[in-house]
Amino acid sequence: MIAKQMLRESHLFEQLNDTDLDSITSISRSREYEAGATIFTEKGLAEELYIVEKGKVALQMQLSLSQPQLNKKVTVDIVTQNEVFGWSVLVAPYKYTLSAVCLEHTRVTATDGVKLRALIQNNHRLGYEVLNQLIKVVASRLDETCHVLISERSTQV
Amino acid sequence: MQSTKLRAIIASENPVEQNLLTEVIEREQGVVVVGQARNALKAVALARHLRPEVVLVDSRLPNTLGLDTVRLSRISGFDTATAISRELPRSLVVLLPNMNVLLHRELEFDKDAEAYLYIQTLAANVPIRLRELYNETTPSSSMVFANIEARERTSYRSKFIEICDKATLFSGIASLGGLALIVSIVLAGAGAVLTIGGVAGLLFSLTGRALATYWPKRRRIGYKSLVAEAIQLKEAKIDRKADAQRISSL
Repeated sequence: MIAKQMLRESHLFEQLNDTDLDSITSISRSREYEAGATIFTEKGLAEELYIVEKGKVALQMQLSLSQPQLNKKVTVDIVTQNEVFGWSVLVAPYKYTLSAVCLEHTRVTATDGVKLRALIQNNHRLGYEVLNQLIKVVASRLDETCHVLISERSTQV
Repeated sequence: MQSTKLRAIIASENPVEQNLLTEVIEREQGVVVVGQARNALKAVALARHLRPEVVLVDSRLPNTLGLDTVRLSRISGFDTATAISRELPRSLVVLLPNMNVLLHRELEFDKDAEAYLYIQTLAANVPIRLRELYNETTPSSSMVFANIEARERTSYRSKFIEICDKATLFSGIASLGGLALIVSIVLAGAGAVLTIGGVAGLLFSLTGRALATYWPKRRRIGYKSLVAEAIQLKEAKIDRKADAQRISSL
């Protein structure tokens, strides 16, 4: 059973009332992963939205270079407690844009994507609040990714 | 193999964390820190140049600059660890996601504490020894995710408490064993008495029965035969008397 308080502390659901939080709780469940475990892979079908309850998750992007042997994954962000990842579940074509790998023993709240989309369609107020917060998450990630790529990634490791 | 020292390099932006890691690593016998790097580029270059057996990488490692204002400039530790692991598949690469200066402050404050490395599994935290991990390293498992934490330093006091705990355990087992032995001895004594009594009773009853069966039979037969004999004698006497009277009457 997912604690409502935990959902409220995440940025994505902080604006929701108790009834809405109950709806989200009913379609969410808690999961645990060991360090090094991959939660989802880039370009995979986005089925769940995640909130970190405990631990650290690295979000990685596959860097495809002219020479295939030089292809590698680059970490673009690390998410920690109460942060959201897997937002592609709410945005068409519902495919993850990054891979998620646990850096330490991690517990997450996984919310079913299909049911969440149905909930948003049926409850526009809830949909507005969630998507309004989700845009901030996406914008923040994009902003920081741009910073890191411009400031430091010009020199390859 | 054991006599060869393991050479280690540390990749961490913070000098305090570098010193803390050096202290933790070198506490293990046979491990020596041969280099330190403050960013990802230097760490990879150092690893290529020295080809160490062990590489410890802080996950919050800047790529080159380490700008405080850019959060993402500090996250390339995972990529660095992956890159080194791919280039040096025989080396053990330890990624540390939870390094922080607060731990060092805590250790400075509490002199009875010391930092140690462990691997967190779903079941428990398992303290690690770099030598053992290195010996088990294969190209497919050359990168491990470890954590660092403070624990109580192993002191004479804690060793004495440990010995006392063990002594308590063994004494308890010995007491229970002794008690069981006493009970078994008492039971064995009672068993011996019962056995002797039983055997004696058995002998007595069998002998008595045999005697009782044998003697009365003989006496009864003797008595009967004596009576019969006496009757025969008496009858013979009577017969003789009758014969004598008959003869005398003739």
